Amino acid sequence: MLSPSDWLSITGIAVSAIGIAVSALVAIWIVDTLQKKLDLTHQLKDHFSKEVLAVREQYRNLVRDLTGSSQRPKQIVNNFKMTGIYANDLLKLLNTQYGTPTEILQPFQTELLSIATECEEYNNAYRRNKKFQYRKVTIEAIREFEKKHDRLFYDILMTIYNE
Amino acid sequence: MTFNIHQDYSEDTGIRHSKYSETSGEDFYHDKLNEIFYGCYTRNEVLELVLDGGDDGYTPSFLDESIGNLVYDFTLDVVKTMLHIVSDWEPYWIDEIEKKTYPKWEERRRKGEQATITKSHGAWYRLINGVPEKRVWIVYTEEQ
Repeated sequence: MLSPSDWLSITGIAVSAIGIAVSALVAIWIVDTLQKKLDLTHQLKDHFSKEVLAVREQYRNLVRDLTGSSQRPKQIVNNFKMTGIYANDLLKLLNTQYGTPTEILQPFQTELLSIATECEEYNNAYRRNKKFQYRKVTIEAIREFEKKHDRLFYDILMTIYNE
Repeated sequence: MTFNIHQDYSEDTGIRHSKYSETSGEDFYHDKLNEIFYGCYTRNEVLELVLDGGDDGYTPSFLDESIGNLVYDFTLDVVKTMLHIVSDWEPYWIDEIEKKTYPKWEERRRKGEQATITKSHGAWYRLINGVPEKRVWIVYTEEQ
């Protein structure tokens, strides 16, 4: 037969055991939740970085088209518009999430288009929207631009992963 | 007053000068923007210039020529106060205009380096000592 003091001891042990178990469960829950959150954060960063690389690819394609094949003047402007809007939408999200400056790609959105549309060969082809090719001097300016500004995409990735 | 370039002027805007394109920046300024801005100026009303809408994009030279001429004729202070450029789709144009077009054309205004015109235009408004005057300020010649 257990005495009252034995019951008290057993109850005390049981309460402690339950307390330990609850604490352990809470700890597991916290770790699990944090892990899930970390995983989600990491997944989100990976998702955004893929989007950034997709924008970079689009601008690389634009540069490749400008320097490599004959194009119609109005198509060039419209391609830049579509890519510019896509980049702008992404940068707005990145700005909210990671504080990425929304104007970081402005050189690609305006300066590159200026090089491509403010030259003699573009002007001459514009009215009839006829296919044309850039002169060597313009192609060099476009390539020089790309060489100088390609790092901007890495700067964006840095803002994502440094957060 | 709100003016949407694609809806109220042309779906398809061109490049800097009329010599090379229809609906150029030069045309837009002389056919529409100068008169509209003058109206807003006399009514002391802000002109909201909306860039969004339409499928076609802007060339930087279209925006530079049209808004730059406005700065030349009405001064940067007046344009900054009375012109509100709006674009949710392509806000980078606003930055480009504010950082490049505004100072460049204000500098030209101070130095008296007028715009190049590539065809004849009717009389247009320019502020002279704060008072709008309507004249043909630049006479087109073939050499231009």
